Amino acid sequence: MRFGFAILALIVAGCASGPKTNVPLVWWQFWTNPEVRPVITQLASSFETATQNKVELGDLTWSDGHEKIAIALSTGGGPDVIELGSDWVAEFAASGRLLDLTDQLGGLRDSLLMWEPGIYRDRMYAVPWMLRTRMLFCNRTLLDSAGYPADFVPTTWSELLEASRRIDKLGEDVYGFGSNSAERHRLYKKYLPFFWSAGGEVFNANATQTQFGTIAGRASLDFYLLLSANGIVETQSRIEEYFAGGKVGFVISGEWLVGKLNRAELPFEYFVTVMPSVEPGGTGISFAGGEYLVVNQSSQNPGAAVALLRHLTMPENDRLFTTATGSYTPVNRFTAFTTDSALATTAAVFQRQIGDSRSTPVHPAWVAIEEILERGIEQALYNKMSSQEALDMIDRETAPILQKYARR
Amino acid sequence: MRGVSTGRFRGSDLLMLSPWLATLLLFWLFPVAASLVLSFTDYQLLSGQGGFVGFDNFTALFSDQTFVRAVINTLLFTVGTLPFTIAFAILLAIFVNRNLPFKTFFQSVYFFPSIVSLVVVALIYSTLYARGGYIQMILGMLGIPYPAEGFLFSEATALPAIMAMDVWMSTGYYMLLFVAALQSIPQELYDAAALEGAGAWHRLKAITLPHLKPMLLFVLVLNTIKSFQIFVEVFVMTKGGPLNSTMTIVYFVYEEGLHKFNIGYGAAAANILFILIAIIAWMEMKLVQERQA
Repeated sequence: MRFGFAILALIVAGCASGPKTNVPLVWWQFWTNPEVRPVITQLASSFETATQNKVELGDLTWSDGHEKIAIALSTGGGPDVIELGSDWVAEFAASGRLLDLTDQLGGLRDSLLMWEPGIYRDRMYAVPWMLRTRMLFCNRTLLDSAGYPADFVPTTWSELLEASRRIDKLGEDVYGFGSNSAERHRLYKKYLPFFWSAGGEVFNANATQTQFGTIAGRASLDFYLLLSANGIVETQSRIEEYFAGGKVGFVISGEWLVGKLNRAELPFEYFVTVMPSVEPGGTGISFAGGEYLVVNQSSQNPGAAVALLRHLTMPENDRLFTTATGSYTPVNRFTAFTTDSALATTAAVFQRQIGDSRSTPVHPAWVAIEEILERGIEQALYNKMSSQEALDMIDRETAPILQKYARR
Repeated sequence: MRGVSTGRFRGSDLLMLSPWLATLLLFWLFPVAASLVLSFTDYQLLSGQGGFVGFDNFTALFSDQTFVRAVINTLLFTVGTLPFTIAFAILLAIFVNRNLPFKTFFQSVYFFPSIVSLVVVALIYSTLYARGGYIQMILGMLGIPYPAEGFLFSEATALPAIMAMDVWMSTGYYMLLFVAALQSIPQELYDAAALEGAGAWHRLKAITLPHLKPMLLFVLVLNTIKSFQIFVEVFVMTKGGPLNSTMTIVYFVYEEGLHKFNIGYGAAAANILFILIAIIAWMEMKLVQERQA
């Protein structure tokens, strides 16, 4: 009987509420690949050593991470620190699930780059952790076969289109441009750079209307359709496979493709350049994405959570992470970052492009807007609508969503 | 009397049943009820906000072109896969049920696709269906026209391509069920029919098919429900595209509920799916039972 009481007492003690001590800080992140995961563990360990706070890592995947985070946060629980894609921050911030970090970031604000996606309604909810931009990858060998001089680099839309045309004519299984099909979350990232380069702005001044039905929208979509007609329309991963196989003249991709190409033994030469501009001497804008770190509003340990954000973005940790991910664009401006001399030129191109890159507008309904945008481009790609009809449809269908948020 | 039911329900019975009852309530009845309630609200998962909107979600769904397309595609998928799956399964079952050499080998070969992970199969088929993939190569050699952009990027072929994969994958499983049904048919019936001089076709019509009817009904209902719930194939291979040509009801529910977090809207679509499955399964049962009568 006494043994029974002892057990009961232990259970009651275990269930009793009270101040929690030594509660581990839970950090959910997306880096599960063997090149980066050990660095994530190393960063967590060094934080544990420095602060005596235990860190419990949780792994997410891009296929269902968004849903997992939303479900966890909607229950009022969830992890303390979460990695978010740049275009998700506004959505979670608007729902009141993220901790307002505006007054807690102090010196960090001057050290890190590209804060814009982390700011919603003038309050800071996310800390930039990793920057990503996209470049134009060009197959030098195919350009040679198409009769271009050895130093040719396409710098304008018309040069890119003409070179794509000439490469596309080289043979049955050779394609000029690797164009994205209607692949969710990717197609809009390929269209928007052309739209921005043509001077387009996604929203009007008070964000109640998208502005794709404008001259810039039409010019950029028509150009994208022309490029698609002179190449192959496929998923991003397959376009990259075709490029790595030496069958595509041009693709738009990120640092990860440099890594893939360098690991393979390529039977051709390639180079990387900045996005072409509409006119000679202009600026070609690229898409900037990134990874951001946020703190859960319900975190039991917000002080330690903010300390973890600071720790992860310190120059030496930024260098470790940037090197492991194969990125060329450190997030901390004070990070002493050098790359392999063989890749220095490529790295310099990425670093130059990041300055001429833009991220998606910070809007809580971006996921829905993005879906409508991709659906419209798809209609034009499959000749179901003219480009103007498709763009007008996008503006029409996004209007009620934007007006709903504008009224709030 | 011990061991004999008195017809009375005792407290101890309830205690014994409680694990099952708890599971039933928590994981079956509660989600169904919650889904029904949510379908009449505009509940937003992230903010936790939302109020009663009556039948608004349901009326909005019927004017939503994407949802209408999802319903049509789901029906097409079911109608396009069900007869082939069942016909092939019966034919294969009859084939492997005969005393042929390597009988077990053939059974295993035909059953194998149904034990492979659906995601793995979908990825393999995505490669086969791609531009320059093996299927295009074979069709090219045979002089049969094919979509140059690949089967999954053509509005005309994306859904049929998924349907063909599904038939390939499901047939083996139903074949095994039909083999079990075939083995329960008394051999004496075939012996008697042979004495009467009945041919193979007559034996199939008069003995085999009538005896397969209970299993046929089971497979029909099971496969209908499975077809209406098609999701993984679409998620892995096409994400509902191109131009919503592979958008199905469950994928629509996922997109609305778990991607855009329009929980009420997604729940309404899920309830329509439930009603559709219930009506069609009931019709199938009635049809087969009437034929039996």
